[in-house]
Amino acid sequence: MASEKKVVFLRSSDGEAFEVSEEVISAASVTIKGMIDEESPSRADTAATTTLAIPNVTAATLSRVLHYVNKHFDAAAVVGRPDDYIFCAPGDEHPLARFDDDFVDVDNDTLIDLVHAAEYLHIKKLFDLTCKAVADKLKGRTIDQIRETFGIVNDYTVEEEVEVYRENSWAF
Amino acid sequence: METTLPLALTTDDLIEEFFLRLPPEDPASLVHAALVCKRWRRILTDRGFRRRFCEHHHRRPPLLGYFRYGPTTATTRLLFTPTSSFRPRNAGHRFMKALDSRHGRVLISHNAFRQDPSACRLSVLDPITGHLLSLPRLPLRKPLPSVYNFTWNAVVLCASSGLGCDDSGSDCHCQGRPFLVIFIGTSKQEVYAYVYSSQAGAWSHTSSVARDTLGLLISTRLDHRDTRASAVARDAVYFKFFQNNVRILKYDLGAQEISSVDLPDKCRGPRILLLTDTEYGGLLGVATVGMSRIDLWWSSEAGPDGCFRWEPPRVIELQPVPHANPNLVHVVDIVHSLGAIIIRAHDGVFSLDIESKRMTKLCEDNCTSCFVPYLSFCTPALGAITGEGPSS
Repeated sequence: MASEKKVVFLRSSDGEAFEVSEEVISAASVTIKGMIDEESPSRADTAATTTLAIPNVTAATLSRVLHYVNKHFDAAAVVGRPDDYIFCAPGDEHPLARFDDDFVDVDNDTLIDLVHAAEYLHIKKLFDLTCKAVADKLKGRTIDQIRETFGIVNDYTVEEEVEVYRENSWAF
Repeated sequence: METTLPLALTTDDLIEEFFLRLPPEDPASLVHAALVCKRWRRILTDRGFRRRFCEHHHRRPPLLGYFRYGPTTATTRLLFTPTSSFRPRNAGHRFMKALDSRHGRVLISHNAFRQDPSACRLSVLDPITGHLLSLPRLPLRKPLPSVYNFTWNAVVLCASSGLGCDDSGSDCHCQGRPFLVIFIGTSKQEVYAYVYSSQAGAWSHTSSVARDTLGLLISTRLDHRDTRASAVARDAVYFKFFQNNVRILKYDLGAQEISSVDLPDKCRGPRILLLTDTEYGGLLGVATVGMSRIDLWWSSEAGPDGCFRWEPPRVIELQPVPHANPNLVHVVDIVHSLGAIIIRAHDGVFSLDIESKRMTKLCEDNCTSCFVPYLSFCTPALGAITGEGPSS
């Protein structure tokens, strides 16, 4: 059965190739679906599998993205691996909520790489999830803590800062 | 040590995507972000950001808190009970009472204790900018109605709401946009309407109808003291009468006409509240509030005869409030868009979630009246640096 399933290979920016079901990745990524559709006419008469270059995404990030894609867009895979249900708890709003929480519980560099990859590959669910995770890093932190987390230099002058604080004193 | 997010290489559009996902019920987090650096401030204070923020959150403004009228140690004044990180500017006026709130604005009545027509003054507050606009004195026709016959109510709404405008469901574009105040008053013989337009900066007398025509007795009084004594639904504003469960008053925004609407036959109870199914004017609803239950009636589209058809009521059983004497429990308000009932008990004011039945305490003191929920999107409008004053 598995042999009938069409697969494609995705080659990361650092040259590593990853195998993924064509059906699954087409459902997940608008960008890759577009690439596959462009390739289609030339591959109709050949059995060779397609390899698509993903020049903007590293192997480490691409492997994470594909883990997410297989989890979210391949229902069969979930059924086939019941142990994955340890990620679900009865109270979870969405069966994959726990998986998602763990997925974005990564260091900042990894998270921002995932945001860029989701944007480039046009995977809306993953883009939403990762942007939300970045937004969560903004909540409940002082302005100095936010600057530290996001590596930002304060470019307000002292006078400007005093004025803005005064205007928005309610928020502090 | 945790690495820093290399956001310097990230586009403005992508940074905006992060800001769009901040919770609208925590407007302070948006202000904090705006103070991080000038680039972030520029992104957050862009007019387009406000619109996209509203759209991202389905144009459903969050509850930021409640305006109420209550005692403080010194005097009785307008108070704000926050349910979010938002704090209003320029609130806390003495002897001012919130009447109504819609599209980010709050309608305020001065001289809260006085009933006579000459003392009737209204203001409109934008709690986000703090701009308080005192409306001109109502040009009531002479002779002024007597104190006994003068009853009234008023609502504030965006000038583009109702009348089939696409924006009616949103609060997104209303800040700084024109608004209307609809004032309905009674005298011994008639019911009349005045409309204040912020564009004209003046009141205009739009309609007068004899009480007889509306089938109203001389004793029938408009009620501006209760909460939910008015509702904006579709292209009309509805006002309830004091202790009258037979009919309500309708002011048609398009035709500028006053008429009366019959309530459902079985709509009986000590008290009714008027509702809409969306906070910004969908279908009209009526809630009859009893001691232990609330009956919610929804109108379907009016037929060609102009009469409302009412759906069979939905009954909400009120659970006893813990430790409270049921005789002293009072339903203050129903915020349909939030699925919440506001209840006053001896030990404070509570919000009851209709679905989960969960109670949340809103404030300690119970000597409060006129709970006016304030729902709005609040995005930073930092005038000091941009040189653009906050819209008013």
